[in-house]
Amino acid sequence: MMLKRLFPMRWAKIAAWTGAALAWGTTAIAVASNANAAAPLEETIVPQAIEPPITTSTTTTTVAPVPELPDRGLVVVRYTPVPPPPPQVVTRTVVVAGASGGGGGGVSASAPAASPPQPAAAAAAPAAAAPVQSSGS
Amino acid sequence: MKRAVFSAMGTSIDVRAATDGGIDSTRRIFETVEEACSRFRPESELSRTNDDADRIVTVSPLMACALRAAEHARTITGGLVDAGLGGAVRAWGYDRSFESLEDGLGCETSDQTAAPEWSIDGTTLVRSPGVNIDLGGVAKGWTCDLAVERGHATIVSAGGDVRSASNDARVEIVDPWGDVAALIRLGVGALATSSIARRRWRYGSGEANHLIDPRTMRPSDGPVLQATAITATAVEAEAAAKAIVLLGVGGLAWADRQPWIRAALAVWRSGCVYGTTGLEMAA
Repeated sequence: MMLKRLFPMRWAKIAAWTGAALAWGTTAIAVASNANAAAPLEETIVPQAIEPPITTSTTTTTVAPVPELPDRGLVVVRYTPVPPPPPQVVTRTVVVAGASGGGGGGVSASAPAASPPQPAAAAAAPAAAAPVQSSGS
Repeated sequence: MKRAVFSAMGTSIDVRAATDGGIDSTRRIFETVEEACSRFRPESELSRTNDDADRIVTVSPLMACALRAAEHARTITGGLVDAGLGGAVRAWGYDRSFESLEDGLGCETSDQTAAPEWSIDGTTLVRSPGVNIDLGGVAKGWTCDLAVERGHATIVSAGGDVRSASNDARVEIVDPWGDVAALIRLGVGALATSSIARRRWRYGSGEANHLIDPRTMRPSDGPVLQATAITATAVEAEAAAKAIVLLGVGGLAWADRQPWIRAALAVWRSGCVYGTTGLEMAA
């Protein structure tokens, strides 16, 4: 009797306090969970180096060698972006004299199959002012 | 000014002289030097010297002068241009005049694997066993020099080697494709062009040319197809042009550092043409 007077509706209060405790605990756990989840989010904001994707195939480009730069500079006399066809292999059957020029009054200086000797008078004086040609030997 | 064109030393000789007598004298000089210095003539002094097994040989004064010119070419190019490489040139197939050369000759290896040792003292030639002398390029340039220095000719061009005593001398540089790559104001001096695009032949598995690199004992196969050098004498120009081809990428830079080379020009395999700043282009 005495207990009933001191603690009226005892079971109702127990249930109420238990519910309140559970609610507080759940809230506390939820807040803690949110705080832990926020930390990685901040880390992703920090700028990071991005590694290039690793590829399994490589591309190589063949670049024509360029001359080493001389001390006093280099003159580009002619630049052809598109490589011309390679010269023909010279053999006995190739008329080198024709291939190496000879026009303009000049004479190919590299023709191994040159014309036979001519008398001096046959080479006319008017052509004497023409530039000499040099095309390698 | 008189002009004549004739054949000698397996190439075409273009002579400009004041008189017909000068042209005739120039022709005789070429004939005389060729008789002595051709390695394609079995009866020539050079052929007999090469066939001689003796280590020490006495040569004629003319041959001695030609050998001294070759020794000078070797010295100024640091051994790159060496007349003692005749054995390697022959081994690679260039054992006859180019007119009679055919594809399929030669082999991929040469018995000559070390730098040849030879020297000329007076008229005494001293060489190590097996050294075969090839005066081809040097003899052409040297003969041009002789004809002009003796006053017989004003301008002489022989197989790409030009020696001039005329202030007005201009030279067209013809590239391996037959186009004029540059028109150069030469003036008094000498110019020579060396090319590995000409005088080439095929052997078993590849292609060879007349320019043997003493560092590899193989024909040159660098990026420079053709080089031209301007110097005081044709012997020096011939040596410089060959050295530039052999040095490849660094050839023009090397030429630029040599005080005896006025200017140089190189034709790349790609068709590009580069020169040193000393080049004087004619209009």
